[in-house]
Amino acid sequence: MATLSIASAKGGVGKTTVAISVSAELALDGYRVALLDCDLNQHASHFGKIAEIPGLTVVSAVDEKNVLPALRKAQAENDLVVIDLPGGSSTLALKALHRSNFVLIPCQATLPDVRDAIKTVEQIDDAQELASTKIARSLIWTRVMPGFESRSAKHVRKSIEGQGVPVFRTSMMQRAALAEFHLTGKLPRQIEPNGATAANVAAITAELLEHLEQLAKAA
Amino acid sequence: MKPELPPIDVAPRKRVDLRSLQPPTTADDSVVEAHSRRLASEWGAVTTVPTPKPVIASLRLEIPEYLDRQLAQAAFDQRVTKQFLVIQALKAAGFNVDAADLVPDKRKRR
Repeated sequence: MATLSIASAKGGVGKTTVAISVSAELALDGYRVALLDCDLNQHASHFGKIAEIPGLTVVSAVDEKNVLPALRKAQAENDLVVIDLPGGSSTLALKALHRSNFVLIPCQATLPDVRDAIKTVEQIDDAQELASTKIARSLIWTRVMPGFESRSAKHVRKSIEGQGVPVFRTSMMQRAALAEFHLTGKLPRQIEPNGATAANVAAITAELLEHLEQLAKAA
Repeated sequence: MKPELPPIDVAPRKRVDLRSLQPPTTADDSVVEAHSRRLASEWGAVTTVPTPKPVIASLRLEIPEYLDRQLAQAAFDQRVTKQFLVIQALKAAGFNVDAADLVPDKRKRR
């Protein structure tokens, strides 16, 4: 079973949006997916209550105390476990990082976001001290405006991409349809399968699968 | 008149055997917990669960009086307890001692 953490030392970067999108997308593809909601706000858990997606289980109220047993149970019962971590540095997040094959770090193209993303990368390195294999990681640019990139966003993006930190080729765009799934419990592909948002989520998920496939081959 | 566009053949995503991946850390939960707590203290991270107090055992030592005098002098000079110096020496010798248990003078906590 693969374990994916969605982490960032900063809040409000789109962790829950990414977590729900890839979890639900892969469940719709036929994978058994558990989404562990470790965020105090429990937005993913609310999505889980209204969504009807076969193969997707949302586990609520995962905290520092129960994260390791909850994770072990989810790993035994699913193909993929996605952990939606809270913003900020926490013992909870550090525990989850220890048991993750891959960490996806959502990040907006602003200096505060990038600073906190780098902090998350360093925490992954620290967690890796106990690991027998590398904990793979990648940034993903989030809330990207379609068709427009500001001068500062371009500068920040180019600066980080030149520093050797892995970055997803696909960005998560700023789309109204991504906010709607909290209301409808349905992914964009269930509402408008040929729409731009469905294509965006599909592309991110495909890139994630590429990474997980490489890790599985190397294992 | 616009030419007819050819059909696009969109193949479904290839299925990946995700179950073949194993967690990168096989260490016991207790080891992961301790390591995470240590890292959390270094990062100034939020910890919501109180650190469990370790069970305390008593160790009575008989040592030469001249050694006890050296220990007492060193403890006085460093403003720590003799117990701290012994635990510090054990840690230096390679014994596993949690940072939380290496307290210069526990009496100051009371």
